[in-house]
Amino acid sequence: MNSARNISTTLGLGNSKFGLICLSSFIIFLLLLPLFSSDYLLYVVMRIAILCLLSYSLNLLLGYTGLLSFGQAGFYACGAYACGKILLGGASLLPGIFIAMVVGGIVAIILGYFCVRHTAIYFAMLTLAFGMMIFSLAEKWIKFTGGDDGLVGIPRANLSFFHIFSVEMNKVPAYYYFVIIISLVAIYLLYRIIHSPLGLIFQGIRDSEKRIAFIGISVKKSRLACFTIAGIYASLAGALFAPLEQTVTPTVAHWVTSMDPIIATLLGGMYSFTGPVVGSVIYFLVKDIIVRITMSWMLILGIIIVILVLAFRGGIMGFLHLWLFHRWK
Amino acid sequence: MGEILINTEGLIKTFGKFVAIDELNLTFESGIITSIIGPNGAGKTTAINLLTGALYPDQGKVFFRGEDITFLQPDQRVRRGIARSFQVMDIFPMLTVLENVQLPLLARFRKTRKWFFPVPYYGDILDEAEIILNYLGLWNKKDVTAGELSHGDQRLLEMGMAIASKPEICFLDEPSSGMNPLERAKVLELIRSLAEEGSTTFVIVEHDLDVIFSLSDRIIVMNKGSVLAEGEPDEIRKNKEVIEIYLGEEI
Repeated sequence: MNSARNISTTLGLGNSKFGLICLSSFIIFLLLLPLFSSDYLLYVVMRIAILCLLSYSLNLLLGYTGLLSFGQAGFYACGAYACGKILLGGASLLPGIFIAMVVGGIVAIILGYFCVRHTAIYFAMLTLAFGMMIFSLAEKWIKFTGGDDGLVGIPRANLSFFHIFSVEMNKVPAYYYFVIIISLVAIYLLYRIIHSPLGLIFQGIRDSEKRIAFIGISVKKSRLACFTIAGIYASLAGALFAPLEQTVTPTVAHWVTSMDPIIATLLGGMYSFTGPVVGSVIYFLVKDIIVRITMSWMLILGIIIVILVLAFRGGIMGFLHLWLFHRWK
Repeated sequence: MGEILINTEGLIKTFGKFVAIDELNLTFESGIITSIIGPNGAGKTTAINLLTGALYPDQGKVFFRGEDITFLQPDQRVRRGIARSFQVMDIFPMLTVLENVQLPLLARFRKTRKWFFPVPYYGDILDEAEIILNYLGLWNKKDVTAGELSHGDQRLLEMGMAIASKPEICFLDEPSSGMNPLERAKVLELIRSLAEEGSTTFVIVEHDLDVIFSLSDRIIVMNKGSVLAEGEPDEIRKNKEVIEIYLGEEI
C-alpha cells in the first residue's frame, strides 16, 4: 500500500480512484475513436485537442500565475508558421514540430523579458501589442509568410526517424493518433509542472507576488519561466495545426484567435486542471453546432457565455467540484 | 553577543515633500531582540522597508555583515538571511497551510527550479514543514486553505513563513496586531523561544508596550524619521524625552 502510494506520488497522479478511472476510460475512448468514426469527427477532435493545448498555455499564465495574456495567438502563429515553413522545405514531421517549439520558446523569452516586468492590465496590453506585432509581421512580410494568402500546401510530412522508421501521415487517422498522443504527453507534462516546486511558485505569485519576493524567490525569473513554458505550449498547438489544415494564414495570429482559449478556459474553469479540456470541448462544439443553425451565432454564443459565467462561477469544473464537495461532505 | 548584522549610514527617504526617514543610523547586533517604537508616522515601517528591500533609499547605505546591500532585490536579501513579516498580512490565501510553509523552504533548499517531481517528493522539505507547523501549532490544519484560517492563525502562519527561510535576522512588523490576548501570548512565547534557540535575531515593530517591555533586550524609539533614543528597556522607561513624545505620563 505504502509503496503503491509512493509510486503514485512519484508519477504525480494523486490518490483518487474515481479520477484515474475517468482518465483511463477517456484515453481509451480517444484511442479507439478512429475505429468507428468518420474523418470529420476525427478532424473536430484534433481541432479541440489543439484548442486544448492553447488553452493550457493560456491557463498556465491566467489560472496558475495570475497573468491574463491577450497574445497567445502570437506564439500559436510562430509555431504554425515555423512548422509550415520547415515542412514546406521538405523536412519530416518531428523536426518540424520540435523546431517550431524552439522558435516559440525563443520568441517567448525575448518578449517575456519585457512583459514580465508588468502585471494586470499593463501585462495584458503588452501581450496584446506584441501579439498584433506578430500579426502584422505575418501579414506584411510577404516574402517569408506569403502575406494575406499565407503558407499554402503544407505537406503532412511523414513521421520518420532517420532511416529507422517512417509512418505516412496523409491518412486522417494516422495524423489523429499523432496529435492525440503528443497532446496527451504535453498535458501530462504540464500536470507535472503545475504540481512541482516550480508550479507551486507560480501559484504563489498568483496569490501574492510580494510575498514570493520576500521568501527569497525571484518573481521576474519565475514569471519569465512561466511565460516561456506557455509560449512553447502555444507554439506546439500551432505546429500541430499547420499540417492539419495544410494552410496557415495571418488570422491565426490575430488577437481574436487569442480570445478562443480565454473563453474556453473561463467556461471550463481556470482553477481546475481539467477546466481547459472541458471548456475547449464545450466551446468548440457549441460554436460548431450554432454556426450551422443560425447566422447570428455570435449572439447566441455570447448569451451562453454570460449565463455560464454568471451561474457557474469558477467555470463548469469549479462548479462541479463545489457541488460534489457539498454532496459528499 | 555583539556581532553586527545590519547597520545603516545616513538613510534618507522622502515621499514627495514629506521626509519619512531623515538621516537614520541604525545598528542591529546578533542575539539581541530589538524593538522599534514611536508615534504613528515616525517612519518605523518605512525603515524596515528600506532594510528589507521593499523600498530603496534616496540617500545613504544599508550594510549586511559589512556588505553593501542598499539596492539589492528583496529575494537576494532573503538569500543572505534577512526575512520579514508585514503589517498588513500577506500570505498565499488560495494555497493550503502546508504549501504556504513549503514555498519559503523551496527557496531555502534551492529547489525552486525543479519542475518534474511533485512537491511532496522532496522529503526534506516536507519534514522541515512538519517541524515548523508543529511549532506553530498548525500541523493539524495543514490541508486547510490558508485564506480560511482565523486571523490569528494567519498571522502565526505568516510568522512561520518568515522563520521558515531560517533567517539570521527577522523583522516582524506588528506581529500581534489584531490578535486576541490569548493569541498574543502565544506569539510572544513563540518569539521568545525562537530567540532563545539563537539562530535568528528578531527586530519587532509594535504598539503594544507590554509586549515590548517584556520581550526586548534593546529598544529604539523613532520620531520624525530618525532615532530619538535607544537603549535597554529600563533606560527608555526613564527617558524624559521619550515619555513626553510617546509613552505619556502613566508609565
